[in-house]
Amino acid sequence: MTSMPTNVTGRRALLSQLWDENPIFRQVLGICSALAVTNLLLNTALMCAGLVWATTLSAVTVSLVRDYIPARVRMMVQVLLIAVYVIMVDIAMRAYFPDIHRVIGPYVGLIITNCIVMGRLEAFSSRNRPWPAFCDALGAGLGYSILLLAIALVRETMGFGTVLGVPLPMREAWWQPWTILVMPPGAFFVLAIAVWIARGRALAREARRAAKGGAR
Amino acid sequence: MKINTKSPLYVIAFAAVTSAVFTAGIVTLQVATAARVERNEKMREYRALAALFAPAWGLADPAALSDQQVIDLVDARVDASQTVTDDAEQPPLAFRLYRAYADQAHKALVGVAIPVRGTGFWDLIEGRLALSADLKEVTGLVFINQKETPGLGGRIMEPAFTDQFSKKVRGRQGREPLRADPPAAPGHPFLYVGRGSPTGPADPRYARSVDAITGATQTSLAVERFLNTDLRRFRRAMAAAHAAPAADRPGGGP
Repeated sequence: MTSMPTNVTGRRALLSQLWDENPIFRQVLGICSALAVTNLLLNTALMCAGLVWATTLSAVTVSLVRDYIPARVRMMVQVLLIAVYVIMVDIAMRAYFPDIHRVIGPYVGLIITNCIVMGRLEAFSSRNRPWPAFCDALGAGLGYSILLLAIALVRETMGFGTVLGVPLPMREAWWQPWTILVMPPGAFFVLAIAVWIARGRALAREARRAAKGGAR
Repeated sequence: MKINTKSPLYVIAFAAVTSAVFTAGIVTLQVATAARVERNEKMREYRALAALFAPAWGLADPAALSDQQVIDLVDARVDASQTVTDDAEQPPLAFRLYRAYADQAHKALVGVAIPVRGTGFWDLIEGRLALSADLKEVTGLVFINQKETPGLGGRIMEPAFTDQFSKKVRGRQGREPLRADPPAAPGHPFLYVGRGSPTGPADPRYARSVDAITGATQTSLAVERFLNTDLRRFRRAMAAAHAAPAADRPGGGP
């Protein structure tokens, strides 16, 4: 496969994935896990850490061997690399954090099929040097994490009346938990509202930029 | 040297080498952590037994014990060498008896735990149910494996749910212990999960009822279902064991 460097700097790659091309609200990728794990902040944070780990390491690895990967089997190789890094996380968690593994173990394996990881490898890492590839993957992972943590904060706080498992002060006196927010339909509501707000802000920013450009 | 990455031979060799290298890496990691994973599995069961029998042993906080202390305690005071089997229904169901004694002399039986398991909303749920030495009361419940929805059905692991089965916690709350003896009316459940509050001692739910988890109806119903099935089959297995020749009986039991 011919590798065509895109001459994107690491900083630009990171910022682009973090906000301008955010995987969740601009590319609408990784939605399955955004819906599945966001009813508790701790689970979400661990899922995000796993995704950042798998995305960055597989991106760097693909970038390092990009000139040697045959085009015909590149997807297979990419999936293999992603699976290896995800299984490493799974094994390490099972051995060293068994309590956490019991809680989010079923979701860790799903990182392999997360569209964000595969998307960044195919679209960016396979054509760029390791540093920009690392930054791009880190940006995608962090961009995914920011939105998911925001969604989880709303769902856990309103759904359980807790933050990271710690009850809100005197919550019995003033808060009635919205159980629907920790159930699957609640994930759709909060995700849709989060995407709406984030896209609205991004579009307003673009409109301001365009207006500035036109005024010059 | 220019590599022809389109050559079929190169493609096959690349795929084979890549697969072999990364698979070897995973296998190495798996082998390196196998002992630790096995120990974690063992500790999960040991800690469950320590938590279940802690009140009978006068332990205030079994979670504060080190792994080695838990192993020493359980090995010294719990006899898990016997099983009883209910083969009146197919498939037969074997129960390992965890018989807890007051000390390592194994003279005074303080309680018995049995494995309970069944299909939850997503996957297998597995736990240990503790009963009094005369098998008439439930004294505790700990789940050791489950894959229910985190934050919903997964909350069966939390004390807010399992404490409802604890004789000690119920006693502190001024509530009667849950009964594990067969219900007066044949066919009635041993235990009720999320079936409302009993109206009085004449209510079949009296001393047999716990609250469900809000938003996890299916998991709560699954727990009720397999606890009742396992209690019913355990009773039958014990009856069969006591009808057996003396040499085959679970010794020291009720």
